[in-house]
Amino acid sequence: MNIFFGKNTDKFILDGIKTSGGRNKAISEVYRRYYDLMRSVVLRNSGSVEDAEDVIQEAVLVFVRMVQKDEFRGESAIGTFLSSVVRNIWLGKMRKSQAEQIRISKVEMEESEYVDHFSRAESYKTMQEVFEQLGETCRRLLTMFYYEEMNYEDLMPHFEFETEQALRNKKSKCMKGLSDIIERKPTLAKTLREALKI
Amino acid sequence: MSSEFDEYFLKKMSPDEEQRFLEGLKSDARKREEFEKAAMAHEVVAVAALKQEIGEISKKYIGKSVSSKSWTSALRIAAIFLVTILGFLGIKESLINGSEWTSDQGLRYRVPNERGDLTPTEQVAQYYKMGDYDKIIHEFGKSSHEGEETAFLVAMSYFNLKKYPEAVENIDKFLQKWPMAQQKSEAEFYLIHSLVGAGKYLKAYDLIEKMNAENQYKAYFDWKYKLRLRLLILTQ
Repeated sequence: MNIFFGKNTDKFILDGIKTSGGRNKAISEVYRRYYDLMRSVVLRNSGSVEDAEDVIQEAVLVFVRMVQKDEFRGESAIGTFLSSVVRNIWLGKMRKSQAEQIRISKVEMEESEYVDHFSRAESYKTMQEVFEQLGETCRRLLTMFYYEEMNYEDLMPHFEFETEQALRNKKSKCMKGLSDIIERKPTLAKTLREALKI
Repeated sequence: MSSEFDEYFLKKMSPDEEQRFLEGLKSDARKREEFEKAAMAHEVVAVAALKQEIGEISKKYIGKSVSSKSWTSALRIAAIFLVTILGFLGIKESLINGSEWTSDQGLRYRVPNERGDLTPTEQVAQYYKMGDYDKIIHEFGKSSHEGEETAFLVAMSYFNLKKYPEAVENIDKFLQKWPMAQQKSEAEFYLIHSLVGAGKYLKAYDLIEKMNAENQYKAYFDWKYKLRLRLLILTQ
């Protein structure tokens, strides 16, 4: 019952996002609780339902990454923060497409905050495009190993490799392939170095 | 790629091991370069996989949301009844109050500056954009000669400062004085939120019911919003 009515929902979401076991439930809760609010920000500013769906996904991604990296300090409530991320990404998209007829004046934000959220969303989009350039086996293997945190033994039944060593070699090749693609995109590499502080 | 890197990425190292690992990178330029490449690739995997997961959740949520809209009225009434009973049985303590609810929605009226002649006076608009709501209230709140736009921004300043009873009073006055105002729709929208914030749930509910269907904000107050408002009325 607390999830619906309680005051602990923010904590439930923030704690859940940081664990691989609780992440899915926490993100689902973000949608259940804040989807209408986020959608209304886009719809009230000349966006369509489809625009809203895309922007909401990008905003949730920015929010979740910030929580995972301890960059969300909880100075504002999650709903307030998500509204501002949605607004900034939507404003960025409007500016990018130079849709001057749209009443973007309604979405004025502080420049630094706007740039930060929008540029994060844009970088994430590029990262996804880069990842898509890998073959399907590599995408599955890397996702299951790093994101779902499955070990080699558990991965074996999901792939057609005769030995665990062959699977390990494949994973290394996939990572090397991904690194090569990133190196061919200097802007992305620079953004990643800055984000990772390396 | 080094399995040591994987242990680092998957957070399997103890704090001591992690420190030794990071120290080791400082003294080994080649290893550091390899690690940088691996870290960038790992970040890309993390983001792309997360995006995929969010996409799936979104699809599932939107599917559910659409199907929930096809509920029959009888089911809605049953849901209201059930949740109301639960409210009386013990969740009253955990219900948030109207002030927190309104505040939690992160609403803030923004000044449209592309409405030609109807733009508020430059000075008030400037204060408003800068978030100096106290100044607006102090300088313009008591004036009986203020114009339509100024009066509206005074009311919105009270709302943004979460002074909901004052916001109610000022929006009410505004709507009485300028019943055909350009900001009428917004004024009604924020009046309802201010009433909720001020704990006047029944009046807020009545206003939602009376809201003109042409008001573009009416859709905001969907059945879920009204259900929650009814619960607040019942538990008041």
